[in-house]
Amino acid sequence: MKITIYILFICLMFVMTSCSQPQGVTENSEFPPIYPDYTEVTIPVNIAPLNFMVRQAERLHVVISSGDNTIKLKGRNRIRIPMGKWRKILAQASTGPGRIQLEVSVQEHGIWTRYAPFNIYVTPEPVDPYLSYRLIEPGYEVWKSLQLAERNVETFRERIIADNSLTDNSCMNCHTYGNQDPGLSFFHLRGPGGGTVLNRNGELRKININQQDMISPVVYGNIHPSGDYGVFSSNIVLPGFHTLKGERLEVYDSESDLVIVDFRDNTVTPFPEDFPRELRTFPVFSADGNTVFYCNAPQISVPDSIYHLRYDLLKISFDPADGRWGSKADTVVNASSLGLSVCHPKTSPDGQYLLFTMADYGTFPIWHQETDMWLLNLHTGEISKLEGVNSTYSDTYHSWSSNSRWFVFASKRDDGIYGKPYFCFIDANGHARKPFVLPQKKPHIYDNTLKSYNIPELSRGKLPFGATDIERIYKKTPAENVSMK
Amino acid sequence: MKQKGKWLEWLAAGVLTVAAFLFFLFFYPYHNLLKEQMILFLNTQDHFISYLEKPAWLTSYAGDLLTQCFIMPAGGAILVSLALLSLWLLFRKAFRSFGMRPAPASAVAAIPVAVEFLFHCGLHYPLGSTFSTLLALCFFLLFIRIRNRHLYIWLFLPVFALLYYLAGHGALLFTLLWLVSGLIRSVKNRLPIFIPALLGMLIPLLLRPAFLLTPGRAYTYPVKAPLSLNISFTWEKILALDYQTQKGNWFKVIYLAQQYGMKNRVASYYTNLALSQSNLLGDWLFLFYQPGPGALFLPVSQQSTPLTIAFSNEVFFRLGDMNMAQHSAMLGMIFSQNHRSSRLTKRLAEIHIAIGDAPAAGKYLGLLEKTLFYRKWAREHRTLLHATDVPLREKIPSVDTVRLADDYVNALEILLKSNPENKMALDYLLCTHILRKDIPAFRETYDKWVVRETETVPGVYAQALIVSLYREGASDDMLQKYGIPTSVINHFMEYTNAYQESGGDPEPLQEMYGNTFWFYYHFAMLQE
Repeated sequence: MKITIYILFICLMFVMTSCSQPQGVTENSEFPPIYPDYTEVTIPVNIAPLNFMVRQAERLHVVISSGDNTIKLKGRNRIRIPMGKWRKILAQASTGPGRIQLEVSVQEHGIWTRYAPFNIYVTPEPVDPYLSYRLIEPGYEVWKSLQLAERNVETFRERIIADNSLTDNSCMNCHTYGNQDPGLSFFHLRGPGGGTVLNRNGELRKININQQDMISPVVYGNIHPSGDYGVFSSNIVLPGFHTLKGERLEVYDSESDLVIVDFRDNTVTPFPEDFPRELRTFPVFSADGNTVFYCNAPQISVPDSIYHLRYDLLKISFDPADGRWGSKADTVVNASSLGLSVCHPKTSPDGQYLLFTMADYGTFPIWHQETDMWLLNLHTGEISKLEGVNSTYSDTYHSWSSNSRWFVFASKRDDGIYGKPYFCFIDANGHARKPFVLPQKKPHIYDNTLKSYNIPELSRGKLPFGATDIERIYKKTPAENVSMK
Repeated sequence: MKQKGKWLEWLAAGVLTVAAFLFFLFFYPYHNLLKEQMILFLNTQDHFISYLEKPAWLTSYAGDLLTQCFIMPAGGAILVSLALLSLWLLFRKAFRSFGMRPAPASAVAAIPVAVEFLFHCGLHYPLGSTFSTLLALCFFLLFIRIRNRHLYIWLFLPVFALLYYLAGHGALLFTLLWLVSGLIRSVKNRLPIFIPALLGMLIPLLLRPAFLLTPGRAYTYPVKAPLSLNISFTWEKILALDYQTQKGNWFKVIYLAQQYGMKNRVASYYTNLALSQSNLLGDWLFLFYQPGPGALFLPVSQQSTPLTIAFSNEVFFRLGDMNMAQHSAMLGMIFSQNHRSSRLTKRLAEIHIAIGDAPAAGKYLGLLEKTLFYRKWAREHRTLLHATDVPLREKIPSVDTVRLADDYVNALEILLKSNPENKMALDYLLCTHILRKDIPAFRETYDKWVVRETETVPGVYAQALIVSLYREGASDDMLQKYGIPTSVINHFMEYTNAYQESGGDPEPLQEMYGNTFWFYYHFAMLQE
């Protein structure tokens, strides 16, 4: 009888403590110190649960609510939000109040603190469900172990699509989609069995896009909306080291130019010869495929004059019917007149915007802390710095979602060294909202990783190939050659 | 008699275990110390889960967990010698199960143990690999208890698959022992034994896409580097210099360098670093082997080995060239076996503390706080995140320029421009010119940066200066102005005469002048 009473008492205590809210709570008017910082961010309706942690917490109570829907969670120093409940609350929030509210109470040194509740705004516009990125140690110009990965952003599933341990440790450049289409993408594989791997609905081709008349094998590029052409830069890339603390690596081109590649007959059309000899890089097609945007700078002596190397954003017409360059280039953003240098232009799929980054000088802004993203309205010509989006560290390498309402970019805002993918919403008026980092099942993964998430790219679906397909094409498929037009 | 033989076997095993322990403790401790430094074992759930993505997860996890104890020389010695003893016991038992008599079984069991011992004398052999062999032997010894022939055959494949996941290459040893045992058991109809064994050997190939391994690695996991079967005392000595450098025991480094008398670039690199930290570089440079200017820096290039890349940050860090130190530490980590290293994580934390970059330093300290042996160090250093009086900070350049990674002269000049008090940078710059035999550059640097009134001229610098002054026909007053001691002037005249008499033959000059700049200038073949 006594034992039964004890058991009942313990059960009662357990039930009481598990249901009760913390007692003797101190109120704090600030937002809770959660990591990742999801306070007041805007998220798409289809994103995976935003699990977070409070590093110093001994215990954590979280109440997530939207309308009459509430999720109560507890954890030691982190919470994991159940997928089903999360989906339900997001669906309700996106059609109703447009936001969910989170109330976080933290126990630290035995004392409970309830922080000011914060909102997470939910948009009904989804983000493309798949994200590819390169996982690489931020080791400047060298590599040992690198992988291309694909992550489903609606869940936490990550898949390796290429692993250089299967391709003789050769370098792999980042994976780029055409039109956010999983059936149209490419990346460069370096090394003896390398080439540009072109994916068309899972059929993989390996093309050696290099000719004697070209400066180098192709580097940065973009696929035409038709999938028939690619525009690439070929660059002599040199690394140098800054001496000043905080500044790290400077990667610059001693030469660079553009080419168009016709994937149907493997021909290469060089940039028109009647243009002056200048540095041209980061080419990208417009949404309609009739224009190529690129970065252009006068050829100056580097690295001695590196601080004066500034690129402007130019455009040149392109005729998809016969794959020819236009005869006249126009300046779109005269960045050098602002004392800045443009790189990484990316046009939105709806053709309304062009997102690009600007740094104080140079062409490789990953290690430039001042690198920020800017938005150009292609209809009005107006440019604006994305103030609420940029951080004190490098923010760059962005990619649009197919609905043009979301973009993802790589930011080093946490520690200045390791890049992570952040998602940002652009509303109908072109205003960007506070971005949020790619959610992880275990939020402390970002603390423990020594890899950067390099060049994140969004896609409408899952890629139709995997790491062993890339191994096979590297080892067994001879590369197709190209010829100059 | 039987009892006596058994005792003798055990005595021999005991003696050899103690010998292995003493060997790793006193004669070969630095290889194990380095192995610990080249892993970063985190006591976290996701670190554990990362092992599940590859075969041999259990033995790799257990191996790396215990490799942390290699931080103490005795820890490595105890663990390796106990692992070897266990290996001998289990191999002996396995051989006994084949019907071998105790003494031959003991002797034959000593052969794989000896091989394993030699593997452990290499730089990269993981403890987890020995555990894979141990687990395979345990599985085999349990398996042979199965008396039913059908069960013996049918259970093989699932057990192989399980063992492969737990112990990687251990599954191959298991297959071999299982096959031998099966053949001994089945006098008739031996064919069915071979079929599961062959199928089992295909399992690593079939599973390799899931584990993202090449065919070769699928069969050798968790061994990652090529195996070597030799005891390298050359590397042991270099690692001794490396270890004492990390501890800042500069006189010990110099003492060891003297004892070893090695003609090795990495040894010279550490010796020169110790000489500079002891303010002896300008005097004692040529008391040690100098292969050329490459003895001052270890390059980070395609020709470098992973280990020299890992070592290369030591000089940059102490010079205050933090961007290069960070570059080489980061690359050292990338090229290390596991792409994670406690030593280099620690160094990256130190670099960012020196720079004053709290977020980046916090990242590395956060990792170290999740380890067993670096937690305390990390917590102590967290207090420095916002400190202003960090010793190395004043050495960091205050001017910016972009330079190539191997442009050491430019880097040293920038360090001096930012902080003329950076004695190490000055010594390294002067010695770079000396070791390049570039007398005009040495003289220019000396005239520009050395404050003559307050310093006596170090011996080697005096030897280089007198060559420069002699070339320009400097007067006695000029020699005095430079503070060159009369003894050096006399010594130089003697050398000049002796050199002319020798007709360019180094042999007669070696004993008397082998430790001088003049001898180096005339006879050293520069190695870049």
